[in-house]
Amino acid sequence: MRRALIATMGTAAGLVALLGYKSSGPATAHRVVLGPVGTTSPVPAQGGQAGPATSGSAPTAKAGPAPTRSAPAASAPAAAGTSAPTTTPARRSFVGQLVQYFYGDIQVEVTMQGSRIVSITVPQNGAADARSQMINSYAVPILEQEALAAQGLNFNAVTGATFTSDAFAQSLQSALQAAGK
Amino acid sequence: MNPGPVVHQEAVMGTVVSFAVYTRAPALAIEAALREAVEWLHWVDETFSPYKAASEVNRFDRGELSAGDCSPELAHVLALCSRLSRATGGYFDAWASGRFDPSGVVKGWSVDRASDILVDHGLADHVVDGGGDIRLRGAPPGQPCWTVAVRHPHARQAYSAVLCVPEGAVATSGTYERGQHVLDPFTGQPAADLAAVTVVGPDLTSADAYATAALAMGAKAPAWLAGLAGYESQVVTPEGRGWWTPGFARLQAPGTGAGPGTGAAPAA
Repeated sequence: MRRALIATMGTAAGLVALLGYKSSGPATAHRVVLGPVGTTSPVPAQGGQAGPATSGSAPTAKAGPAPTRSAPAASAPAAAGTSAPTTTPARRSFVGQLVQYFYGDIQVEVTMQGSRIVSITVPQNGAADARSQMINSYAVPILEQEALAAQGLNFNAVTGATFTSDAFAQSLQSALQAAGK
Repeated sequence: MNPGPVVHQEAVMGTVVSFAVYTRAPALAIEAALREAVEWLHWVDETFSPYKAASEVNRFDRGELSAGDCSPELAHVLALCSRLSRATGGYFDAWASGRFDPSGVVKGWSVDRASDILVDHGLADHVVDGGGDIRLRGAPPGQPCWTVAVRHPHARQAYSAVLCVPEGAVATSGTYERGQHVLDPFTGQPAADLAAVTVVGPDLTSADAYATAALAMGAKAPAWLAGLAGYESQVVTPEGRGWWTPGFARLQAPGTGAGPGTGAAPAA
């Protein structure tokens, strides 16, 4: 659990750096893991495994790997309130503005522990409908270019496109402003 | 110390095609090979562009040219279109827009051919990148595979995977690049359920067409992609959720992903 949290913090720091914010988190890890859509828990539960969507009928539990699995299986209890040292600051969540974009609405929630970001989730998304539930259960890693370069990873090629939706970044930015970052 | 690649970029077919060739061949020989490959791509542009009124594709579409009278290349593309339509359950459809537009296969196919031209000239180790759809031949010097980053649909300068790919092809179709430009042929509506589909396969012709078809399939894409022998894939939704094949997870470069064996078959 502890390593999972550190990974999440480090990656959140990476994304914050991307948006031009200074971060206080460690720079060792390299990815941001978004929490499950519709979750209200800002903390990656159960050793970093992303849980299946809570929606009723779709048999999502079989589908796809959870990217947070690079963290080792947790032996410590998941409830941070009981396992964390007594000096750990309380967690506070900040919800960004609802931003309309190409696919609907997106809203980003940032959870802070003291001045550190412990998770970034997308609690509300108007584009999440029944048709996409089947593949909606697992967060896709965001591997930061800078962090990969720092590891000495050089690419021979990049597949994909250059245009990206700014709505996610916009909502995240407003959540961070609310958090006073 | 290995020398770096010889690189060339060519604006053609509404995009940029980039070549990176690893070779010790003399400069003149490399130049001759690249010139032939680039001339081929421009010929394809003239012949297959749906934006050029006089292109062979448009003359065929207007009925000025029968299937029997068209060039061997157009005949080949027509055959490819019907093969891909069958292979994708109709989701690859060169007639989805109401007129004949084989652009969804022409780029991948022409990049494959451009790569063949380089091989014919003895340039066995190279990358041809057709606007983010990539054909990989041989291997970079001293490496077991090509390192290919998959752009993340949400985050600028970030990736959803970094892959170690031996000879083959990697194609990404996304609604985030040019907007909702892929039509669902069954509804006539733009495909909007997925942000990106990346397919790794033996050649770019099919990898590119399969990625485009999967984008049109939306939520049905994982079940279909999982059944494609010889192809690995990743699907990302507009919310940053996703799915990928077990083989795709195994292709991930060390230290960049979930690691081998973490994938699972999609829900049926």
